[in-house]
Amino acid sequence: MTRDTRIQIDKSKQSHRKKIFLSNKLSVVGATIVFVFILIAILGPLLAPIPPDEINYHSILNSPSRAHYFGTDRYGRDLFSRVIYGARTSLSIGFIVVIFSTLLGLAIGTVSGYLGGNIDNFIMRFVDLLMAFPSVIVAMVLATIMGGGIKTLIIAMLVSSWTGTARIARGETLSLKQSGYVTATRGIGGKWSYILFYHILPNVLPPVLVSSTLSFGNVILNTAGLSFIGIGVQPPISEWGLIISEGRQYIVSGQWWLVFFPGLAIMLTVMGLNLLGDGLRDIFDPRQRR
Amino acid sequence: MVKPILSTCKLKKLFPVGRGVWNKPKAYVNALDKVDLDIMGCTTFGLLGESGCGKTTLAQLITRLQEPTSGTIWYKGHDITKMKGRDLRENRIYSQIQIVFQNPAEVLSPRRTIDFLLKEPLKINKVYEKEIEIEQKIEELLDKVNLRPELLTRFPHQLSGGQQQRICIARALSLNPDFIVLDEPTSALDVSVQAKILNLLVELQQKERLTYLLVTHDIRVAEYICTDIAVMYLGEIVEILKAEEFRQNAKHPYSKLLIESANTECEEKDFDLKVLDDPPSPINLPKGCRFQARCPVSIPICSTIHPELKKISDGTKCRCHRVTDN
Amino acid sequence: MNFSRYLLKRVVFMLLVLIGASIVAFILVRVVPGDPARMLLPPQAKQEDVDRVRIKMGLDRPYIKQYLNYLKSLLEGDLGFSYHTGRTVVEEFKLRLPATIELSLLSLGFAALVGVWLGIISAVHKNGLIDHASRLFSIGGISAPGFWIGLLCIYIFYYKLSWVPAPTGRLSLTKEVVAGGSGFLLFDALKNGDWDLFKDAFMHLLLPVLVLSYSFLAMICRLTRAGMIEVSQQDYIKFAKSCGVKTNKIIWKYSLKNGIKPVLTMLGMFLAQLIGGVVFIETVFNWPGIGRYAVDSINFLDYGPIQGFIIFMALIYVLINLAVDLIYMAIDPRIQY
Ligand SMILES: Nc1ncnc2c1ncn2[C@@H]1O[C@H](COP(=O)(O)OP(=O)(O)OP(=O)(O)O)[C@@H](O)[C@H]1O
Ligand code: SF4
Ligand SMILES: [Mg+2]
Repeated sequence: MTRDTRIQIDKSKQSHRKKIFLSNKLSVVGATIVFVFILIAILGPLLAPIPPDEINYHSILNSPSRAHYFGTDRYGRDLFSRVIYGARTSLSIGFIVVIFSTLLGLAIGTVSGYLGGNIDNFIMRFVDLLMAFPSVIVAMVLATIMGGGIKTLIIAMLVSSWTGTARIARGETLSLKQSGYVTATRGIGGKWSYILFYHILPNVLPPVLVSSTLSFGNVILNTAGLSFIGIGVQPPISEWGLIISEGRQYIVSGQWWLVFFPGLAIMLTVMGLNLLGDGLRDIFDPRQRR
Repeated sequence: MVKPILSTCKLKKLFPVGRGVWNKPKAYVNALDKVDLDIMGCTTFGLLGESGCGKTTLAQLITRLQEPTSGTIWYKGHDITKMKGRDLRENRIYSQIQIVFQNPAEVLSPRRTIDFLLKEPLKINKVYEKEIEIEQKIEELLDKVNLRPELLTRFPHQLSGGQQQRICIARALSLNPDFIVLDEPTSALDVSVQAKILNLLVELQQKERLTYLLVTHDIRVAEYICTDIAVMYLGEIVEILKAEEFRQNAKHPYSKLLIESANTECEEKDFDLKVLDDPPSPINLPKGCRFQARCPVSIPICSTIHPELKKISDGTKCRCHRVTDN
Repeated sequence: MNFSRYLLKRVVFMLLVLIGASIVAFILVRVVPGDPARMLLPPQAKQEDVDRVRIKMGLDRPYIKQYLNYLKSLLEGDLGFSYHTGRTVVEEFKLRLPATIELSLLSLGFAALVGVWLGIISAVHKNGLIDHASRLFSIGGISAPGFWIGLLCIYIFYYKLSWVPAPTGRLSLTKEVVAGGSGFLLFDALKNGDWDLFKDAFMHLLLPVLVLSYSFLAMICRLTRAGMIEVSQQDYIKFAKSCGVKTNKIIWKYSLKNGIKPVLTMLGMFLAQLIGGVVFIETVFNWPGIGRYAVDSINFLDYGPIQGFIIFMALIYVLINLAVDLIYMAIDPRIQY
């Protein structure tokens, strides 16, 4: 094979990846949904027709109409605006948790895998131990200690979500550690911190990114769920789970919109993230394709 | 008397296998057993042996990429065995002893450009202060290994095997080492490319006054460029002698078998030790001579007493009960 | 590593989980704001009284001693006291456990049956209409919050269609739990031949079970499908096919056994999901189980039940994981640990 054909093959490999992603229509749909929700979150104040906490006793529990696209709640607040602001809350909590848990998981996972031996053993047993406690329980315990609120919520989800990333990062690192180029870099005097940063991290990143995308969806679901049972975001902040919990009592008397719209927003966001994550996984690791 | 540039004393490496209760290893692989070597400056010392006999292990122990179980390594009169990462860096051991690996494709990180990979040793060891000096050095290195500068922007997999190995050689040279371990530098390459790389290595050795430890399982390669040859079997050195005497004067039955199989199979390009059976497991070593099970000329004492590496004549040593000086 | 050693390792790990849970539960009440002794007493109690209670509760002793005492009481089966209901935690659990078990077992069973079935059908008709439909259905189940689906179902099936009774818990307000029964209402009603009660309990169970099982069903379906497709590409399936073994037989005999293995492996994860799901679904349907009890306890700042909840969940987790290990072993004796 001549050099030129090699280059061509490589170029086609890159475009091949793009093709995989684009040919998987669902992942494009997912990416679009995610993009739209991020836009909504950023542009929130411009999009919301009425401030989300503006109380109006003349329009209590109105059903969806021209004036209030998603209807109003028991204080006459505009549900459309509240759902838009809810995107801000959910996505920012999600981003914070995912970014920190990814960083934490990456750091601990790669270092643990690279050092190996008893330190690695100890850290991994600890990770197993932490994984044995469902996130809901962790959140309950923390909510008991610190009281509900965004801070509790974020910490609780951090505690239970970095472990997955750590496991993946460690697994990848373990196999990379055996690779020739790590040995070779040691041979030219590279310190372990250098090797971790320049040679292991770039290879660990793709699979970790996939898992972070998928866990983003989980974080949003959990945020909503914990706020729904009263140990997450507290009123009067607009948050999807909280809006559902406030509208819950009206479902048996027919005011469906209080529950329907925020839930729909949750479902779409999470679905978008899941589809996007699946698409990314297909690109980076075709073996795991479902 | 001239002192060797590098010598090893009773170098030993065990690999634990299997983990039992409390992480205690179930058994050990005897990858390397009490290896004594003396390598003189500006020579090429060949290490010959079949797959799995511990050549790579020895190469990586000497370059301090693996920790020996016991034994010492002396480099220019310094004991470098006890040195840890920082000492090795501070005493510039990593720069002075370099290694070229068996498989260049595995050694070059797939996500980095050739440019990055070539600059890497210089940057890690902070050899130069200015970027322009680094650029100059890279140019010089590419010239030394006969590569064109266009390659710099490429990724490793966009290079041919021979080019990749040249890049590895350039990386090894960049720190101006005195001693280079070549771990089967041509075994992953086409025959036509092999010769080119070997010639390049010989040329470089003369220009830069380098000392080589060449690991190979190819007798012709060893004869072609080595000054001395050591034959290894199951982690032990079984014979050491001058390269030019190898074909005529090798005494050890294993060496003879190697020569014989090389002669009979030299028409085939890729000869290995196919005529021989598999060696015994390095986990459960036989009691007497390690070669006994396959030795065509063994005698009763071979199955009970482990032979020592004895001096036969000047510059020749052999580990066999049937070989004595006459 | 042989199996007994693997099991030993697992048991040691499970003990660690239990100890970890007990430490968390122990620390919980020491770090919450407020004095546990003062909370026992009326607000106007004098300091001497508080101190007396403190000594009686052992709160003046070193932490390590306190912890050992706590451990001892746990081993004796004492999970603490629930102030907001005025009963011991064990009594409360006994009262509510049947409700939770009935709900989760029925859901898991339903999810497993339908999920595996749907997964196999999707795999057999890979990329067909059924496959796409079930994939869409699965994605919905994984993405939509269970409590939301629960509320929507209440709106549709109770408010709009009146197919099911009001979400008042396990029974209509006019009905009563069988006294002295096992607590499993369907079973008790059948035993007493009380068809009215059976029907009422069944109708109340219907929505919660379906909603709780949805997300598991989706996961099981996806896993089974993936496992089946992988297995069906393996040589021995092809071999069996080429030997003329009927397709149905192949599916059931060869694929299923190996295809559901990933499902088993994930059971531990399901469990975590289940515990979360139960909490939400019980809240939505006013189900008097331990999940809702835990939520109530947090809102009442009643720490005893929360401690008990932690210990109890850890125990369940440990037992189920050990069971999974054993089942796994039975299914695939080749497995290497
Ligand atoms: N990290 C390790 N753990 C356990 N055993 C090992 C390890 N590295 C090498 N070994 C064993 O040590 C022995 C010597 O291996 P080594 O790589 O040095 O052989 P080699 O002579 O270089 O072979 P080849 O010609 O195939 O490269 C082999 O039996 C090998 O299986
Ligand atoms: S010692 Fe004996 S068995 Fe070993 S090589 Fe010599 S003759 Fe053969
Ligand atoms: Mg080797």
